[in-house]
Amino acid sequence: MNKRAVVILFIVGLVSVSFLVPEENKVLKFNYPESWPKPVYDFESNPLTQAKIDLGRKLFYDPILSKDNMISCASCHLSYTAFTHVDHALSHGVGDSIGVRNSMSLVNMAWSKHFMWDGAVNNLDVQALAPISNEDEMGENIVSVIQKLQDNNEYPALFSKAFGDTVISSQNLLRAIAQFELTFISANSKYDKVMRGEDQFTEQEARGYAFFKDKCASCHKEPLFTNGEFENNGLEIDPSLYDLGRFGITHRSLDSLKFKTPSLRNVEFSQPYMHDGRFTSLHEVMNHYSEGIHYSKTVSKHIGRGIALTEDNRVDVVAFMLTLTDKDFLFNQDLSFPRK
Amino acid sequence: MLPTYLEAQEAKQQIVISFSAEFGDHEIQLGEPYDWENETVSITALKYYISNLKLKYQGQVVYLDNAQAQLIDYSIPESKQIRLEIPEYAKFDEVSCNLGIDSAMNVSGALDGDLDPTKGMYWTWQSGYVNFKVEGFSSAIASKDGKFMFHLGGYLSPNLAVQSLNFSVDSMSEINFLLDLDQLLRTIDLNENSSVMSPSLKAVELSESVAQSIRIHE
Repeated sequence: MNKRAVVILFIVGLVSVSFLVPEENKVLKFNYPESWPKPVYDFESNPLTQAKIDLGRKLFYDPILSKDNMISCASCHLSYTAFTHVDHALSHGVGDSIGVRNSMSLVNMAWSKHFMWDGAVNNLDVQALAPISNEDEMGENIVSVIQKLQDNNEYPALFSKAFGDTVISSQNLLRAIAQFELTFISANSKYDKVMRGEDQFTEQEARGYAFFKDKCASCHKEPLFTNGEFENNGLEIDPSLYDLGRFGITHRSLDSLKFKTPSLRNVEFSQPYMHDGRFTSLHEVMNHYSEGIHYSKTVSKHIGRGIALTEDNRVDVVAFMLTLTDKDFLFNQDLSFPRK
Repeated sequence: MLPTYLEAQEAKQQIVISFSAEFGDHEIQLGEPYDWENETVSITALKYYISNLKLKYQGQVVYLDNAQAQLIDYSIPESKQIRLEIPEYAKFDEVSCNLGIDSAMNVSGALDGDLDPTKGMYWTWQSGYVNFKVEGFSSAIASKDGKFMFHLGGYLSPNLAVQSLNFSVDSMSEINFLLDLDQLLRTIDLNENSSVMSPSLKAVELSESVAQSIRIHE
C-alpha cells in the first residue's frame, strides 16, 4: 500500500469514527457572551458533553446523595429562585438540622475561583463533597454515595453512557455534577439587553445604575456582579454563630469577617441576603450600607464607615438591581427538575 | 517508532523504595500495644502521601516518577513499596520526594487513583489533602478513650504543610525510608495535644517533626 493510500484511509477512518460518536458524547463548546472575561474553569480536564451534563442534572436533583435519601442539591438550590434556598436564612439538611450559613445562589459558576462563603472549596469539581459530607446538609459520605449509585437500577448505565465505564468513581460523579452546574449561565437580564443595545433603562434604573457603578461596582463588578474576592461588608458579628468567614480557612487576621462577594444577578429572587441571611429585603440591605456599617479594621475600603444613600438613591439602586433578573435563566427548562 | 523500540530493549535496573515505621526497634503492627516511656501506646492508622519522587546524580535529576502520588497505608502491605525501573547503568546519589501533596495538586479538582477522595485522605468541608494521618491510643492521654488523631495537611500559606525529603544514598537497589515513631512522639505532648485535624500552624510544625523523624534505614 502506498503512502497516499494510507493517508486517505486514515482520514476516512477519522471521519467515520467521528461520525460514530453519538451526539450526546460529542464535546460541546462552552458558550458565553463575547464581552465577558474568560472562564476560570478548566474545561480541558472535564470536556462538556450532553451525556455528562444530563447525568449531572439527574444527580443534582436526586436525594440519593443524602444519608436519609431526602435531601438533594436542589433542596437548597432551587432553579426558580436563582439556585438558592429562598425564605431560609440558614439552610437546613437531613433530619431538619440547621446549618450555619445561608445557601449561596449558584450562577455563572465557570467564572468562580472560590466556592462557599469562606472560599473553603477551591475547585468546582470538589465542591459537592462538602454538602454531601456535612452533617447539617446531606450527612453522607462519598464512599457510601458511590455504593448506592452503583447498586441503583439506572446509574451504572448512565455513567457508562457518559464516561464509558459502568464502575462509578468519585471523579466521574463529581465531574458530572460540575458539568451541570457549569451550564448555570445567566446573561440575559434586562441589564444585559441594555448593554447589548436591545433595551433601555428607565430613568430611575439609569440613575440607580450610575450610582451603582460609582459606589458598589468595585466589589459587585460587572458583568458577573462579583469581584470573586472576599470582603468584610461591615456586618456586626452574630454572637450565636461567631462566624469569622475567610479567617476560618486562612487563619490570617486580615481575612477576619470577610466573606465571598456574592453575585447580584437575580438578586430579586435570592432573598434572604448575606452569609447568615439576616436581611429579607433589598431595602434592608440599602439601609445597612448607608447606616448599619459596623466598622472594624478589615471592612472594605470601598465601604469605610458607610456609603451615604439618600432615600431616592436607595429606591433607584433597588430599581437597577431588579434589572439583573434573568427570567430566561430562572425558568430555563434545561436547568429544572429532569422529567423523562 | 524506532527510539521507543530501542528504549524497550535497553537493560533496566529495578529500584525498590520501601516505607517502614518503627517503635523502638520493632516494625509496628497496627493495633498492637507498645510499652513506651511509662505509657502504653498503640497505632491504629498510619497513612501518608509520597509524591514527586526523584533520583538525582550530582544534583541532576536522573529519574522522575510519573505517578502523581502514592498513598502509603500501613494497613495495606503492598502500598508500602514503590518500584522504579531506571536504565541499567544510571547512577544516583540522592533520593528526594515530597511528604504530602503540593499546592498545585491540591487545586486540581477531582483526581483519581491514590488521590481519589474516597481514600479518606481528603477533607470535605474544605478543599485539600491530608498529607499525613496517624491515629492511635495512649495511656498518657487523660480523656476517657485515650485516643489521639493527627490529620496533617494544608496547602495555603502560611499553613502549607507539605515537606520535602532529601537523602544522600549510594546507587543501591533497595532504599528504605524509616519513620521513627519513637522520635516523633517525643516531640508531641499527647496529654496537652491529642488532636490536630485541620490546616494550622500547629499542623505545619507537626509536619516538620514528621519529616525530621524520617531517615534512610542503612
